[in-house]
Amino acid sequence: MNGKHLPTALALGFLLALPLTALGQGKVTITSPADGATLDALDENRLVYDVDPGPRGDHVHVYVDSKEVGILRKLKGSYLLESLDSGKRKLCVKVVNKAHVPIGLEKCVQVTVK
Amino acid sequence: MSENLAYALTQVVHNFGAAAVLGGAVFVLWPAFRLENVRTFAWLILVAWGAQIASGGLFGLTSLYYYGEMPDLGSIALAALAVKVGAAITGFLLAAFYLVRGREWDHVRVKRAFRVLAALGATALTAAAFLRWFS
Repeated sequence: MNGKHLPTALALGFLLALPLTALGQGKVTITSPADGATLDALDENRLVYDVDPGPRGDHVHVYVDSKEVGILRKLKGSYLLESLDSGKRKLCVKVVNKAHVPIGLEKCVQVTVK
Repeated sequence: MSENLAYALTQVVHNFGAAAVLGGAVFVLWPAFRLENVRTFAWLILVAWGAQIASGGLFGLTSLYYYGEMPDLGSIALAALAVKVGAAITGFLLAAFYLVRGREWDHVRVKRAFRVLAALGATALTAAAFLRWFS
């Protein structure tokens, strides 16, 4: 390759690589409560989360036992879990697209509420 | 890319349909009721409600195609969707009923029908805002 074409080749390679970096899958983290934790129903229980929505995600839905309880447009923060019934509960955070369709990126934790 | 394009093109049809269902009825009524071209506007409103129903369904089908799931709606959003669907079906049927029987109607009845069509359009647009932001 001619040396004077090197910058062009590098620029082209960089541009071609961009879509690959844009295809990062994203990630959902639930910092609190921990999986398997026991919660007191009378406490102010907060779900603390951090979301990288990836290229297809837009915002986040929160679920308690598969029932949608909240819509979160902040991708990092906490959500007050109101009136959790006692017993085993499944808490989930799902990334959805602009049309509110879950894109398959989610994190769930099991807790016991007493 | 193709997913966003599919949603965007569906949204184009949906937006123009929304503009036509409300704008068409309001144009007949305001600033003064005009009987000329009423049937043309009734056709426009009929086609626009049809486009609303079709594009609304297409949103669901697009989600189903790309993710295998329908949009995940909370209770307020579901109620708003039910209102929208009800308004669309009623608007479509009323416009069709006018086109079939409207020639026999007097001015008062025609005016009343277009007031109802305008109200249905406004209702659907209002519900759309709740559907958008409570999902």
